[in-house]
Amino acid sequence: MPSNKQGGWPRLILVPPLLIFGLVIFRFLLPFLKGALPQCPFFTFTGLHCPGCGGTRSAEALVHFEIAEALRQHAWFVGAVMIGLPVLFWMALKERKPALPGPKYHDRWLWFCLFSLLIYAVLRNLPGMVWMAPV
Amino acid sequence: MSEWYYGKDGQQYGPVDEATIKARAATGEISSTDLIWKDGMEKWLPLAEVSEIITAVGSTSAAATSAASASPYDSPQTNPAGAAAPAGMPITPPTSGLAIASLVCGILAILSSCVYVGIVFGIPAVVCGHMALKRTKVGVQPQQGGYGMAIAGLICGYLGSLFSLVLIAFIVFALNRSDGIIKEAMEEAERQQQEQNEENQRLVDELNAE
Repeated sequence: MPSNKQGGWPRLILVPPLLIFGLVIFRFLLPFLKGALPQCPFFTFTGLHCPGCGGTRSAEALVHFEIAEALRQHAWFVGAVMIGLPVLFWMALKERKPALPGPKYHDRWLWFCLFSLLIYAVLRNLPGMVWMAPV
Repeated sequence: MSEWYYGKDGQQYGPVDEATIKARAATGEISSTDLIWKDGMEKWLPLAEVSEIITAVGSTSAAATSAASASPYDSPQTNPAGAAAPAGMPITPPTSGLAIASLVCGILAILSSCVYVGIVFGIPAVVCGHMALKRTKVGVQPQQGGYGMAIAGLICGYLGSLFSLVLIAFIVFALNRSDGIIKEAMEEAERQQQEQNEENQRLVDELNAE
């Protein structure tokens, strides 16, 4: 996780706070967003769930701290917000202060995020995996 | 004069001049397995593999000088401004920060492509991805890793942007259509109202006639 200069902060450290901030904004925008957000056109046309399907419902449940419902709608999203973002933040901190405990950033963590999302997106469309699909 | 960097215990040191790095190698401060690098080298190498540092001083300075003059394009990069770029380099060829940023934005773009914000993440993913491609191509100095990651970020970014653009087009189309439907429904209601009025009027007239 390189930074712009020696001893500088990795700019990626900004990502977790910004996304959390986005979720907070989302919570207060919810009453206005309801009805304005359409059904996923990919789902409308194909009947398949896209990688993001259920994400809005999951975020809505999450900002009201309904974890079970959030997991039901989009488990990957919940994992990313509750585990991925803190880990990313910590790794960016560790990049600056190597004495901190925990694993160092490695590219494979990011690849894992991408491939787990893709695998999750495929799995939830399989016939036996209806419990994974959003409702 | 070459400026050397070396890594020891997960920490990067340098730039130091050639005399300094030889002295530190001689005292054992830099061990034979520690990685060292200078501008113009393809990648970081263990000290033991860099012969110009570990061989005798007399012959190496001659070799280093001839190497430097053989490759004139290396010399401008050894000025302090050129040295600023490798100063941020960790021990192994680092992954380009732009490639990482591109893939992070790309994942977010894929995830959010079915709501309007897909393009908000997609555009940075594409921009960072193209910048990262330029910096991670083979042969670019200083060498940076993350070419595959930049490609992945680009694909995700383009897909996410495309998908959310299709969605926006779809919404605009649906809104236009629903506008039309609403207008038709209102006209229909108006027509029915008018018919009803005429019917009432007719009944009233009939009653009056009686």
